[in-house]
Amino acid sequence: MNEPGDIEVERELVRAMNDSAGNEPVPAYDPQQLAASGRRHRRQVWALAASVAAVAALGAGLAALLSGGGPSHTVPVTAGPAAPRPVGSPPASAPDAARGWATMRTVLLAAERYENPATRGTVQLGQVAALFTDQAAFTRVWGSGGLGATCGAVADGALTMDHSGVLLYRGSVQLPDHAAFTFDDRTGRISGVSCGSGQLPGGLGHQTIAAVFGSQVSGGKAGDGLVGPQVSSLDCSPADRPLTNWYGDIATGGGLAVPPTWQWQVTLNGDQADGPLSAVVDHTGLMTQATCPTSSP
Amino acid sequence: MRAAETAEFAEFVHSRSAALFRTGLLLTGSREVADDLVQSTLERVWRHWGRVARADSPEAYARRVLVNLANDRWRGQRGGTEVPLEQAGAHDRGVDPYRQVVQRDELMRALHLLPVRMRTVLVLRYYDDMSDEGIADLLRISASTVRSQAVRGLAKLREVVRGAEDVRGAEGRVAGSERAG
Repeated sequence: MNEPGDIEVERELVRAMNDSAGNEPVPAYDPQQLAASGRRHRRQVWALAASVAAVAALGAGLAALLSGGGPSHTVPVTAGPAAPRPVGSPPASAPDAARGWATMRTVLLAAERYENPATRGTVQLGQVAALFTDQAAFTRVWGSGGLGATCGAVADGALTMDHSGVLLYRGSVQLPDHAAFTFDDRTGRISGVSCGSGQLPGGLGHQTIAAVFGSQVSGGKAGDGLVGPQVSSLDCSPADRPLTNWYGDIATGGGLAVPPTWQWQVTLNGDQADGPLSAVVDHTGLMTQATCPTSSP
Repeated sequence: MRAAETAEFAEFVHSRSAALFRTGLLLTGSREVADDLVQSTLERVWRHWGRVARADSPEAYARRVLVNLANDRWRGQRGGTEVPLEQAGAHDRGVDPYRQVVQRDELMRALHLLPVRMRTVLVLRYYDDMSDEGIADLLRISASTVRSQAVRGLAKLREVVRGAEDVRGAEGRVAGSERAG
């Protein structure tokens, strides 16, 4: 409610403002110069982010990319250790190819956790963004709520098959599209992603891994008939922490063993600090060994 | 950044920078500071242009940035430069035949001595002609808070103007009695 006299003050204030501001000559602003300055700022930000990522990587892969709250663990978003050489894939064309796969793993783990409202708060997007070649690549690949990295569908599990792509899962159900990432050869950072629905090479025990851990995410019993009696436990997490997401790194082994077996490194709940769970799947699709990280219960 | 976006941004700078500068000037009272704020605002707008350009009103985003930068700057300087509002009308109170000019000058001085949020509300309401709801959205406060800040701000300004007029009236009477004596 205006008081008596306010109308006059209002009128005078408007006039005073117009007099004061309207009589001042306006400086000229050069859009080209502003844009150049903005680009410089962006480069500085990315250089800073890259420095942070490098320092974090030196910290033995323990720097948290995903900040935890309460009982949940943190997930390092460092480039991490090199992923195993894929079965049946051509040798890496550059020394940084394996680093690219490790980057892909951390980005996909972050996307899985970001897509889940219960774990979204543990993801630090700034550190995720530092794993991309630039801001534009991050925006393009990460997309809305991380869905770009998982081909537009919510995923809580992923398996790197070989250089040609990553299978994506919700629970134990494989999503229709698989993702293929491209990397900067020099830095190993992600530059793009494409999604396709074609067949990927099989026969590596991946269906067993997906069924076992995907059903755990769904709250079900882990893979009836797929886990051998030698495996005493697949629960590598504290009792109060259910499995929310997982990522299986590309399998090693295969052709030289008779009969062939494949070893998978499976990161559970995004934790890498203690190392991934190691699982062996035989040629019949039976999981014959599962070893939790050393410090897990 | 695509050429089309660069062209859009250039058009935005050409069409809106003057309004932003004038708002910045009213918020800060300093041409140099306003210029600096607008530079920073436009750089920030450009950094997010892809997203900003898709929004309904890039100008609304720019104004929000400008106001936030002005408030940040004021907070950073707080503690050393505040002057009690009661003294605002006491500056340069000498006899001036151009009463209206003096009164507006006093209003602007008083405006810049108001608390930053109150001042921002008055500038956005009476210079940028924004609705109370729009101001509330920009400042992330309620519309009722906007209204109460505006009423209190106007009351303070009215006090200053009245106080200054009282002083001028007394000075005029003194001068008249001295001449008569």
